[in-house]
Amino acid sequence: MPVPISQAWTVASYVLGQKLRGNKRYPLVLMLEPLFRCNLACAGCGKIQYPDHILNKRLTPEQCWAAADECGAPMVSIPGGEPLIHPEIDKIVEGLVARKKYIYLCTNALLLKRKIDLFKPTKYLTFSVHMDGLEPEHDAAVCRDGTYKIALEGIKEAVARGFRVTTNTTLFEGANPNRVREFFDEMMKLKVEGMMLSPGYSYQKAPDQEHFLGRDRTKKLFQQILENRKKSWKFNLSPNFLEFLQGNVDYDCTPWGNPTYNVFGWQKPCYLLQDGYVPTFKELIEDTAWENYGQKSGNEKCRDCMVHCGYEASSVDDTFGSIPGFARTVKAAIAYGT
Amino acid sequence: MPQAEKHALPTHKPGSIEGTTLACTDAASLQNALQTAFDYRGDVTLDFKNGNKITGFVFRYDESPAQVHLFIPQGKDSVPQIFPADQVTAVHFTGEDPAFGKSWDDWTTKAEKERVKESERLARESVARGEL
Repeated sequence: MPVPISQAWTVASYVLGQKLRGNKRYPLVLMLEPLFRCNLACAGCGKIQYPDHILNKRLTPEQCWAAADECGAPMVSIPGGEPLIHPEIDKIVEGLVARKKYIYLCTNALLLKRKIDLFKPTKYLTFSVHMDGLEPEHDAAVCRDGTYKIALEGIKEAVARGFRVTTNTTLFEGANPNRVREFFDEMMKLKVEGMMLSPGYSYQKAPDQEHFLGRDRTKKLFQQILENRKKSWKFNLSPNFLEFLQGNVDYDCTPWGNPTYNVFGWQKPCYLLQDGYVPTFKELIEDTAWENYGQKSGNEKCRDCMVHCGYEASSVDDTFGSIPGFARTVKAAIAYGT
Repeated sequence: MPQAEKHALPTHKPGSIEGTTLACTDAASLQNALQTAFDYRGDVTLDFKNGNKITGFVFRYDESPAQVHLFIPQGKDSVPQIFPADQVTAVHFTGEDPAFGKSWDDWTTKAEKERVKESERLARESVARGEL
């Protein structure tokens, strides 16, 4: 079982509670970016291209906890930048654990072995290690040789110490399905809890807008990757999201599902687009013209996006939105072993 | 390079607006200039009606009420300040465009030797900051 029952229960009861209250726009995962600074400079990344005085900014632990309290989502993903660079990342995590948030600390793992003593294994904390494929593909994607081997050592250390560990893989145009399947085998050998997958999509301000997958290509790629899938593969994703990626079910985006908070405030409307910032979560939810976003809105910027930050929440909402949705989830869960 | 030195450099970057100026002569040009400043990844310098010039990073632009929010560099850090948008007369894209030349194509078209050199330089910089 890739996701602990306690986490599945927490999420299920939270979503059902929102449904019972008639709340249509509820957050599922807070995307908490405590800094933009990274120790990699992947070509095309849109998160790190700022002046130094912005890259030097850090959210304080108190700001992070306040955002988590204000948002109320049961899960918190901590991307960045590289969160392990943050000098108080252990304190941030500790405060979130105290709030019983399920945390996915997204890291390239270059600092994981060095900083692992700062953390204690708990069901609330998962290291979600960025791995974009086998060694040649990963090192090429992050534009630095040797990073795959270091990340592998970090994963092994964290698993050995009893931490929850997942991998987090972004696939771009040109990905080879057979190599991705080999990569899954390698990751599962490391005894990670599960693997996360998403097609790459450009951040609005990313300098690279050319190498992201279109919708048809995404579906074909994921069909090729996931056909005759091995039972040993475990995915840390909603099973309906995997169905969505293969084109077996259609969803519209849920941009409020993964609200983003960073040094600029609450980002409108989602993790990928930057159409503005507001100081409170309430303003984000109430003042954003949500009808202008998502593939079905006709917004060009959303046309090809199938990323988990927009569609995983849609698939979870589907699970608890109707009996057929729940039945789809159960069927897919059995098929994917999630 | 210190942040201050990254300003007012001569620009020879086709495709980047670094080094250019947008004058705000009416409501439409003001809105366009401030939206472009918000979308720009580097610092800008704003000219105001009272003759003041403010340099910083535009992280938020609201049309109603019309306000522009900047992080103003102070040493290695910066502090947020809000200014009335209707007082802005020009936007100069004075700060280095940090997104320029950073696309995947830019990376792959570089010679292998150049890529290795750049990768090593970035790693050294991370080590120097204590981040590796």
